[in-house]
Amino acid sequence: MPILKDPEKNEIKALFDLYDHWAGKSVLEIGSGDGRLTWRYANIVARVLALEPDKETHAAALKDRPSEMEHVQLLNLGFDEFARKNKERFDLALLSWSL
Amino acid sequence: MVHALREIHKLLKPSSFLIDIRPNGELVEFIRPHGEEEFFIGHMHETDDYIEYFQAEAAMQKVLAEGLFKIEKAGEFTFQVHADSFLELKNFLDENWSDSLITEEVIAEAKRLDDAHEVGKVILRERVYIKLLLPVF
Repeated sequence: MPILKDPEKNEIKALFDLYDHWAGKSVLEIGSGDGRLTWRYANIVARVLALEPDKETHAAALKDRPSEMEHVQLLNLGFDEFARKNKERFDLALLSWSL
Repeated sequence: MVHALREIHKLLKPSSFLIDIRPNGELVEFIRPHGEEEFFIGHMHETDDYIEYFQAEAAMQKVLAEGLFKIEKAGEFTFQVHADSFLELKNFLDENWSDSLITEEVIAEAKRLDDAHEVGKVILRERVYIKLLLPVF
């Protein structure tokens, strides 16, 4: 068995308990990592822009992206750089384990 | 991080939310499940004593005090990483958690449990904050 992160799905349960108006929303996820959390909510929102500054982790997310997640835009970019250029506003910002 | 939170505030629409998910700063635990029981192996430390967790919390408190956000809802959950053995988990942490620090005492306790019960599954357990924050305009 490989390493399993949150097989109990406690993270996504806590996320949906916290907020339940995801449909149609645009989401900015900051620190999307390998997409572990992204793939669990992205199917119920209109748009996801996911930022991951680490090149290898970003590449892993691109490689493992499920086919139905083509609407998720994955950017290999840190938040500061993104914020300097961005003009878009979002319905939700998800600060995901970004210390 | 205060700067980042101020920038996030600028990127949000009216009636939008910020969701903040991060470890609560308590020491992360190594757990050895054994049937219906579980054994506590020890804590995982970080080379910087989890300082970034406390810096993140301080940054959040600062923007709350500034009135940029207000907390709508907050909770906590348990996040676990499962491995088939302590060695597998240690190798994973060495590769993926650059400032993780596993003491000799913890390694010795994991070995003692392996010797007593055969090599078995190990869990890394941490408590995580989750908060829904409303930007104030």
